[in-house]
Amino acid sequence: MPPLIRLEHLVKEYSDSEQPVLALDGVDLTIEAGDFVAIMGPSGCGKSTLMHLLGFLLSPSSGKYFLEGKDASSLTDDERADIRNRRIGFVFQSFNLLPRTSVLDNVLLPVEYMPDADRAAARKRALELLKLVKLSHRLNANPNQLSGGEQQRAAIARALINRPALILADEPTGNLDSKTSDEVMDLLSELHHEGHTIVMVTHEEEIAARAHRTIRMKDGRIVSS
Amino acid sequence: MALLPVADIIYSVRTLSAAKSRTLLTMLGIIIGVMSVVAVASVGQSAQDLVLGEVQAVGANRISIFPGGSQENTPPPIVMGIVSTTLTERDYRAIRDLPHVVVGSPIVTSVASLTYKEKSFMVQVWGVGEEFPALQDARIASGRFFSRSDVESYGHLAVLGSKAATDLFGDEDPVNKTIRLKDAAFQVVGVLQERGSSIGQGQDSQIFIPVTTAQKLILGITYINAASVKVDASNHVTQAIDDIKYTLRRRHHITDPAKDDFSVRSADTAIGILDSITTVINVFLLVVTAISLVVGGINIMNIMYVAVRERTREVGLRKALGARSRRIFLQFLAESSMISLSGGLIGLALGAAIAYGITLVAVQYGLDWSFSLSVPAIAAALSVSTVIGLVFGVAPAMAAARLDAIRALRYE
Repeated sequence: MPPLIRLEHLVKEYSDSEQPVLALDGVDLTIEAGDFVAIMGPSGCGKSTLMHLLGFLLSPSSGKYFLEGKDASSLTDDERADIRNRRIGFVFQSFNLLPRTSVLDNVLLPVEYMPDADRAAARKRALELLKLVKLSHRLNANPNQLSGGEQQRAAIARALINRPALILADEPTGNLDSKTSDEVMDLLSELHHEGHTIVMVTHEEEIAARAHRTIRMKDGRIVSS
Repeated sequence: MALLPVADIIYSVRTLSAAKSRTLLTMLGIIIGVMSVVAVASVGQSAQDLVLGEVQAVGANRISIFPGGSQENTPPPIVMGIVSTTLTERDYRAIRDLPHVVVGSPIVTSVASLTYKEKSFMVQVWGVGEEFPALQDARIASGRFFSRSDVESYGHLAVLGSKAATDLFGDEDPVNKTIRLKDAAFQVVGVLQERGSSIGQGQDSQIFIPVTTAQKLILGITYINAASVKVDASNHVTQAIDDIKYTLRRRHHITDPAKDDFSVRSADTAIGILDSITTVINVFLLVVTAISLVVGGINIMNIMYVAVRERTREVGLRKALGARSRRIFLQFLAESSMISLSGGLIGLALGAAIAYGITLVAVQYGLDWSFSLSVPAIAAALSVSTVIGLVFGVAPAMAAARLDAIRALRYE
């Protein structure tokens, strides 16, 4: 069985500014299904770019990206949108829940972009996920009525609604105090133990320590993994 | 993919109603635009109906003959103040004898000084034939109208319009009193009932005398200013017009119709001319007011650009979660159309209310004014406002659709 993700000499160059910037300088990386990987490194090391490439928010300039054994290196915008919609679950530092929209509807938001989705089944799954993240009592609350930790748990439920192959968490505890950070990390660990694959960008060693494996980057390259 | 995703629309409604005063301001241009268009369309239609209705009421089955030639669709020269002398009372008698012509009158008009006892003032004096009351649907309030023999014998007889009678005699009975018109004595033989106004002209202050007397004594002319007849049925109007033209050409020794020295008009041609004139005016007014709709559309475009900027992170999130660019485009396009359509509905209600208010005032002033708001006008107002939302929403929606997901997510 092929690894979930295999990157072969992935390069990302930003050429839209006057001075071309080499954000990723030939990254080789394999991530097996069920892994929990933390990516660390100083700012400007390319960890965000790697994250965005893994999440199909960017296309590589050169090199190969195999997702579940299939070459996903050069896709159209719409194809990448569809992969994000079906295979990726995003967790953001600033939660990014829609205002004036209930917790339940926020969790169901990705389903809006699945033309052939079974709405009733998706709703049932959303309710199960909200139970998993212990928000069953706040289904109809608006995001501004929730604490930061509750908002991030709702966002994690949203990331799981499409049964993603890969959960991408970008500084998931960056906006949280240490107690709620622990709660969120406990939840991510629990998901990992249930078999989910998680890639997390962080700059906190103790958060990275919760991961199964840590990748350190510098100047667009992986220096240890 | 559904063209109008329900979830997007619900979200738009929530977003718009969360900032009610801003949404209302956004709509204001469209509200005012649609309001003016609907009010102008409705009032214009009512005014047109009123004018045409009055002409119709006066002119059913009526044919008028004027001296001087003219094109079919231009007014006869007399309207321009050009005096032609080519129509006589004898011409009228010949026309009156034609088949289908049931009633008629020659007409000369002038202004003369009228004296009764110590009172003296200028009045409109109409020289008409004995059938004038029947032609005009005028009723005799007291006394009688003059007869054909009175006309033929240059009778010094006068019939007063109701207002002329009250102005001159007050509560006195005018019948058999003697008045002086241009220093000649006339015997008042009758008074007409009040007739109100027609096409904005008062009809009750005139004094009517036999056409022959008016020609000879008051004006010193041998021609008439106009002749007017009614035919028995509307489907005979065309035939009667042809007969009248044939008769007059024969009497005037004209062989080439292009050299006609008379003009024949029916109410139908008058209505046709009036209809086209009033339609042009209405369309012109509509176009002028419709410009405000464009201003309303630009207003929407502006606010939508602001909305896209403010909701950049939302767009980034939606894209990250799998929304294609086209879907983002449709979301914002649906929102601007919704703003525009809602504004259109409010404007429609306000415009209809204004038109209804004008109807109430017009009816107060005794006009036969009817409120009209046609279904096509409503449909046009609403579809135009939706189209404006679509057209002016395209550019901001494209701006939203083109946003880069990563930058949008980082946007503060």
